[in-house]
Amino acid sequence: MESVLFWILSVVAVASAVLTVSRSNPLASALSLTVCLVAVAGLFATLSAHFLFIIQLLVYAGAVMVLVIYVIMLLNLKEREMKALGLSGPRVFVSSLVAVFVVALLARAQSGSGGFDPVSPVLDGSARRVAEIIFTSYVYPFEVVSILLLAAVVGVVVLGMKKF
Amino acid sequence: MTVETSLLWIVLLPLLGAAVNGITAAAAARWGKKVPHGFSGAVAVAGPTLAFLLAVGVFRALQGMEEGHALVVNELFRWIDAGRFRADVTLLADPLSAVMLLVVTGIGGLIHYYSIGYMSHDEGHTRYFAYLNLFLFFMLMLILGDSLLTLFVGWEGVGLCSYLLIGFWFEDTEKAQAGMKAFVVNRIGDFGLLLGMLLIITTLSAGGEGTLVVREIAHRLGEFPPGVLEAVGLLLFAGAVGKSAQIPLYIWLPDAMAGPTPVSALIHAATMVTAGVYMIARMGFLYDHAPLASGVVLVVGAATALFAAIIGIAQNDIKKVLAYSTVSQLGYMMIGVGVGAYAAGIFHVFTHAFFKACLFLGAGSVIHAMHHEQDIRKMGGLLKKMPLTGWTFLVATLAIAGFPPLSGFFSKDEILWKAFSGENAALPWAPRFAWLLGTIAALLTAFYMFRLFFTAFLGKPRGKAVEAHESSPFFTVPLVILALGAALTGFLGVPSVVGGSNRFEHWLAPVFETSHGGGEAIGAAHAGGHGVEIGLMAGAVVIALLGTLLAYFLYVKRKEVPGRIAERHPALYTLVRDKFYVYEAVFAAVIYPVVSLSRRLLWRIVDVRIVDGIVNLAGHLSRGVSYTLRFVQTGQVQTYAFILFTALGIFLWKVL
Amino acid sequence: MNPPLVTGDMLRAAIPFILLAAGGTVVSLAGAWRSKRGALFAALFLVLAFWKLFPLLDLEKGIELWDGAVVADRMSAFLGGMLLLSGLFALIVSPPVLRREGRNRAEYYGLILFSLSGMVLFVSTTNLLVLFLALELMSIPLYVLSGYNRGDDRSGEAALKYFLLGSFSSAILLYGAALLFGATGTINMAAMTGGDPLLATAGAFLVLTGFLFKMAAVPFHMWAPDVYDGAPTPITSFMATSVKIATFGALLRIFSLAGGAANPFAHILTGENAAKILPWLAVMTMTLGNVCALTQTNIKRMLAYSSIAHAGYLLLGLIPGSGAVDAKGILYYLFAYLLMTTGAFTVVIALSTRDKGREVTGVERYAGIGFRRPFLGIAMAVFLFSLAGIPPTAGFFGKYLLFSGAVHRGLTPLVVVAVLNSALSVYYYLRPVVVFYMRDTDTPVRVDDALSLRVASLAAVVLLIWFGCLPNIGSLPGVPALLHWVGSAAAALP
Repeated sequence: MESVLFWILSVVAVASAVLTVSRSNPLASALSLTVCLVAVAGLFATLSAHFLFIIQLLVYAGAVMVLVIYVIMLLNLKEREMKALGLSGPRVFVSSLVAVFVVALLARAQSGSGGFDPVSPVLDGSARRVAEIIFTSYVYPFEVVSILLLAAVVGVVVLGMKKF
Repeated sequence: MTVETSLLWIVLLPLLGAAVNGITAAAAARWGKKVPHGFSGAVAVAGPTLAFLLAVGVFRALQGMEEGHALVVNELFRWIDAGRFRADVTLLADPLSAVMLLVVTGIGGLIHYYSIGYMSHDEGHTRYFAYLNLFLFFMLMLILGDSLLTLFVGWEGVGLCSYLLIGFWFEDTEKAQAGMKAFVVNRIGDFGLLLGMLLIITTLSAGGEGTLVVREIAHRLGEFPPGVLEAVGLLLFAGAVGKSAQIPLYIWLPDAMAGPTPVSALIHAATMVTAGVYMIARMGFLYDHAPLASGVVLVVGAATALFAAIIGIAQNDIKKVLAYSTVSQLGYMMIGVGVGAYAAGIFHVFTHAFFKACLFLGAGSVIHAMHHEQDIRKMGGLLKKMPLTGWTFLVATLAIAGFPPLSGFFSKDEILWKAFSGENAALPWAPRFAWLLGTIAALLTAFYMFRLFFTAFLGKPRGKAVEAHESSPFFTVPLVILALGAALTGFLGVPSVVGGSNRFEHWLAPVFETSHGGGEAIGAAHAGGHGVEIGLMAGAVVIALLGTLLAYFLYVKRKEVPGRIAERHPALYTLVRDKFYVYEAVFAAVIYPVVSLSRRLLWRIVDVRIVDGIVNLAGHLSRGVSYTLRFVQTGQVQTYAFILFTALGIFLWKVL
Repeated sequence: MNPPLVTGDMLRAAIPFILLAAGGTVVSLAGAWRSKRGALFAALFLVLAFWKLFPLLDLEKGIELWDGAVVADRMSAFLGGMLLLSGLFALIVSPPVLRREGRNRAEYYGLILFSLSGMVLFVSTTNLLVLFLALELMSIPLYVLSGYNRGDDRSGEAALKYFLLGSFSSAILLYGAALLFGATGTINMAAMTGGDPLLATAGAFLVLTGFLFKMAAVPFHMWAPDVYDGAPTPITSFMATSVKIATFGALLRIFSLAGGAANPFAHILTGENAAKILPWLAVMTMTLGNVCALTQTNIKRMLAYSSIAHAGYLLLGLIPGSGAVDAKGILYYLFAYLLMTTGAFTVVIALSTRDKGREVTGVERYAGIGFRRPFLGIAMAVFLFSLAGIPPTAGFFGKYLLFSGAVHRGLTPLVVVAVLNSALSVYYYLRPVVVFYMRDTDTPVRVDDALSLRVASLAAVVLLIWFGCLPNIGSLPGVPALLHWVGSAAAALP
């Protein structure tokens, strides 16, 4: 069951990712990206990382994508300009070259050591567990994140100011 | 205050003075104000004076110590600690450095005081005093440092101050060039010194930690193979040849007279130029086992003594005469240390400091009174116009000419006697040869010094001398003190043969007893030579008299004779007047080939073709690189990212 | 049940970061009232952080909290001190520039403090999560600050380039962190052992790549000349020094963990193929940096390439060879580099002028400055001599330590390349000096005579010469010498 789900979601994620870069209409790309993000969220769910699943849907597929689509609409690209974004011969060539390289790299690496052997820690991605560790053992990184966000906000304000 | 602390303060006080005057000068220049003359003078004099008092304290303390263990050591700080090479800065006073200490602070103090008067009309006096104090600081570092490294720092430091002071009136191109010349010539010598130091470190590192501490080197002398000892000795001597103005590098010293006269007195007569002699005496234990190097020191010293004396005969610039006489006297000192009579060499350093400083300051007083006229042919009759200057000048002249019982007689005679009775294993003929040249030079010394005295101070006043009058007490007080010193210091080293006790040699004996007993042992070897020694002494007096009479005859009685000689032997006269064309010869032999080599080979081929070629190649290469990059780049972020990921891919391929 | 959330130890260890972050917040807030005293407020917090950092320099035993999230020891304290010094210089030299351009806003200083807090965190953690957050915290304010000069197109361009490429490098680092976690099951680098060698090596290398980008090592350096050139000069100076200190400091800590052969980073240092990468990186970095600097006529670009070359020399210290990472050499060199680079940029600030909103920093404009402005001339000469490694400056001594250390670790061929590179660098470092003193023009050059610029460059000159002549003696009575601090900091590493 899980492995079937994994394969379906993976294929969807990869296919939609390819669509994201190959569509010449930015809106189509953005929608493909949304699909990709949702598929990845599904992968999180199969790993029983429920909290991450929800966050992925809410923040990325929801908020971030809305923002992306806003920006695209504000840019209001012309038909001609859109064409330039689509797939072209050289781009396909370079992309496939990169893909071949990555596959070759992975194959070469795997053949040397006989496959990957990651440690699989027992993960409990439930909201309760995440809340627990965020406010105990990860309280420090959590606070650092808040400073980071604050710094980013200040930075955006500075860049966005009309005049000094 | 303990003796150790006072040692530190001796060094620090002049530095403090230099700092105060330097900052004042900079501040004054910044805000366009003038520094009151008295202020910078007072600051400048305070340092050396206090240092002198402290030096006397150190001297007394050393006297109170047990003989052979008279040492004051102040370990200041670890200078460099970089693993395998370590260097500490340690101040050390032993009888030898104590003597130098008294000379430098004492005479240095007098000359600072004198400078107040001499520089009274100069705009840049604050800067001048800052340099002068800085010089004193480096000179004291040179003397008191316990290792060759601190000595080298002082050595370069005094050099730096010397160039700054020679070129003090740098608005004058010729004077700035004299500073440049001193700098370049000294570099040649310093290069040898540096190589010698490196050779010491390399040799000693073979058997333990490389060190430049003099006592350590003395202790581990056995680790040097004999050949290396000779090489070290010769290389160090190369440094001394530059700094102490020996043949062939003496050419910078006469030009150095472009600086203010007190500077000539302090740096280019009494102290800095004797640093080479001091260094060789300090390394005496090494030269004792390097007969060839000592022989070379001896021969070069003797040749310099005679050669400079000959040139001195035909000079007409009062300061040039004194400059060549300094070179000649430095030659005597080299004879002393070259024959292993370090005490005698240092004794001459000591007495020479008095009479030569006195002569220079007297010359300065004259020049000041004559409104910067330096040609002795345009002076005359100054003894009446400036009695104090004249009489002190006479005393110093008698001293340098070697009339008993003035100081120069004892020290010069001691050196000549040690040369006469000395031996050298590598060059057996050298000691007697040096004695012969030294004796002839003594005759010439008396001659040219009295020529100077008679021409400038006797006869009828000529030119500006008519209106000349005695200088202020700033000039005369140091003159009188120095003249007294020139007259009396000889009694510190009266040899036993005439009933003296030679306290000077006894005082220094512990320092040199690691060597073969200094002069004492040689003297003992020639115990039967008492009669000879007295005979030589008498001969020296006769020679001095002879030279004086000759000068009297030529320049007072029959003034037309020198002109006639010059007329009859014009080639000879020009040869001597133009200093045997040594500068031209050195120029032709060394500087010109180097310059033309550098111009033709190095510049045309190596530099233009090869170095420039490489640089151009690098330039082309980098331009080529940037062209290649520009093909995909023009500052586009996409390209940057592309390169980033390509590189990452290649590296990952390599890594995995 | 649970240990207390906050203890005194924790506060002691994290207080410099907390003070800087709080400072960033407060100073940015002051911007809301259009305060002109941002620099002063920021400096107050900086000095406070200094004061709290100082006791940590004497810490006998390191403090480690939250699974390596915070590691406070003498090493992090020394690096933190250097970072704060770099920040202090930035605070001192910025106001004259911002004032003459009418952009002296408090947010600017707030961002500097935020960035500093990220750097301080960066050098005092072994936790990959915190490491990444710290990287972002130090970088994001820098992206913004690079684009602070909005009158100049190049400034905005620099910001965008830096942001985009910086994001890539962050992503690469993050990916590496994920692989490391997958291989070892922990995010504390100090606790990582064993694991799948392939994943571990790949992860470690990707993390390293993130660092290489930040330190501008060739071929990850492409952003540096453009960004250094386009950013406001005080920010260039701050970036060029503090980011290098932070990345090399963090790398020192990480590589020193690799002492145990089972640590993933040991693969990079000693692995059969991977160990060849670092020497090549070092050679490429110093050579390309120097070669490109040769033809620059813009002094800011020249210094940008020179900072790339210096990263190459520093990389030399990270190659273990037959010994261990040369922490002492790197720390000393970083300190010298901090002083000489900041100093050189300070002089550039004093001499740079604007032409239609663009900053003009061509070398040729400085003809004859040496005589007209003796202090600036001498100061610049000292900085450039030090950069070239000419005694008696700290730059020389730093090079001596690094190179001689490398020779003793059996890296003689690399040292030969490095020495050749130094010789090459003399050529372009001396050219501005030549222009300063040997040429003269009649065109008047406007010079900023602000006191703070003079103070900053004077301090840098004095310290450079002091540490160059007397590396064993503290600059204040009672304060131990730089070499002592460096040694004690290096000894704190495992």
